[in-house]
Amino acid sequence: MALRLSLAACLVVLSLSCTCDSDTKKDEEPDGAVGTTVAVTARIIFVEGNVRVKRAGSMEWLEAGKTMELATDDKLRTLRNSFATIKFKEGGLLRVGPESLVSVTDLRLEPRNQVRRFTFTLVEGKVEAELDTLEKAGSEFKVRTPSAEASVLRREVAFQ
Amino acid sequence: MSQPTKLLFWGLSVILLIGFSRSSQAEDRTKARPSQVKLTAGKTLEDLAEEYFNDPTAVDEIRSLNQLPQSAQPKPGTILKLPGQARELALTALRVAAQALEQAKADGAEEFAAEQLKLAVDKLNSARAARRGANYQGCRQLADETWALARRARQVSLARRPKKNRFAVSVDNQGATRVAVMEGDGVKVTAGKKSTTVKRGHAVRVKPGKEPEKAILQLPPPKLILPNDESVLITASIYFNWKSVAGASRYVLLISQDRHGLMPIRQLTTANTSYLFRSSLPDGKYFWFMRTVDSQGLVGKVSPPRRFTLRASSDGGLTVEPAPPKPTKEGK
Repeated sequence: MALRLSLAACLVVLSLSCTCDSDTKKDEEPDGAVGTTVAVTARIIFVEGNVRVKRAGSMEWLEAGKTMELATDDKLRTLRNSFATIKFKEGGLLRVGPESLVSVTDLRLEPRNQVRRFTFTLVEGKVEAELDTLEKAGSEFKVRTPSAEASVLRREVAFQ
Repeated sequence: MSQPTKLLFWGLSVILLIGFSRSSQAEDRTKARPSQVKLTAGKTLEDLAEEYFNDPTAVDEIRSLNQLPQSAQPKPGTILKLPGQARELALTALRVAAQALEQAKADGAEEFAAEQLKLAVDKLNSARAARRGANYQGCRQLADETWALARRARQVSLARRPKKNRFAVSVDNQGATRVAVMEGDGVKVTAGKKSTTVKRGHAVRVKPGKEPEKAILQLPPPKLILPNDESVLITASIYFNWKSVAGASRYVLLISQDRHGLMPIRQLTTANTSYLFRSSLPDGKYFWFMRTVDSQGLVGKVSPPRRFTLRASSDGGLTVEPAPPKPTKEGK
């Protein structure tokens, strides 16, 4: 019994000392120390049927065309029997199916370490993403919907 | 005392205490389970396996340990040896090895490192056989080798697996989200406070305001029948036909201008296994793909593409089957 009590006491003290340690680390590394990021663009490389783009802050739906660039907060809509394919400069594609509404939520790249953070919001319809393996720690590619968020897992490195 | 020294001190104390506590527990277990036992009347080896190990498979080991032939039942009064602590260690090694194998499989080793995986599976079978033969030392060694081979299979698979992630996300008119992972390292799907990992070849549904449902295997693609690959079609009505897939509630046919589906132009949905498409497409070369959709609306795997050339502006109404492959320019 005494042994168990002493074990429990040790565990409590250990967990307390670990908590203190993590607090210290937090003080040493302030939040937001992720380096400078730059906004990047994605380019429409294919349009079929009726595809529209609404620029950030604008109310007007423009006819989408090949080579048109999309930036953060732009929206893209495809109507019936319409498709669009978006290509990222850093590699990767997003195919937008018919009757879809997609918003560009985040398109950022850290030039220092090539970490990329891409997020799209799919309000309705369907998208299919194709991108290279996320090998840089911190890189993320997400698709948000009204009911869920899908984020690509980074490839695990198996050590010898 | 500095912070790291303090941590080291407490860490060592805990390790020592846990070690002490474990060794005393082990002693307790050994006391509870004798090294040999006298078989009483009405008891079988199966009863002993259940009573002392809570494991019916231990019966083979008791037989081996006592050099009894398969399915033999010793007479009451026989003194029988029972497996000792070495058995627990062997079982732990087997569990760890089996987990490593499962991890390798989950990372695509069946597809991308089949040879390496087979070596690991064979080794695991040998380890299990050694256990049945009550050769616990040998079992541990073989299980450790299995673990190393499974790790190797996983590494090879990770290296060989295509360095692409491909996944689809859709939102239906009820607001339900569906995520299907066709290739790559998997996708984490989060809804509410719960996250689930969707691996390659799996799909998941999330209803509005709910947590993700259990990820399930994607349905296979249907086998394409008509039009044949490389067909030249001289009619605007194209008859598509494919084999049904068990569990499919509908089929999605995609026509694209390229073999990767980057330039799709039509998406047709039907519950049947054929579709008569009255095409308004301009003459040219096209690719078609098929996918199944299950009752939950989860999209299945995509079929390999087939190509056809449309020449509807020419006379006739016949489908010309492909000519034998020639090194000449296509369409001539």
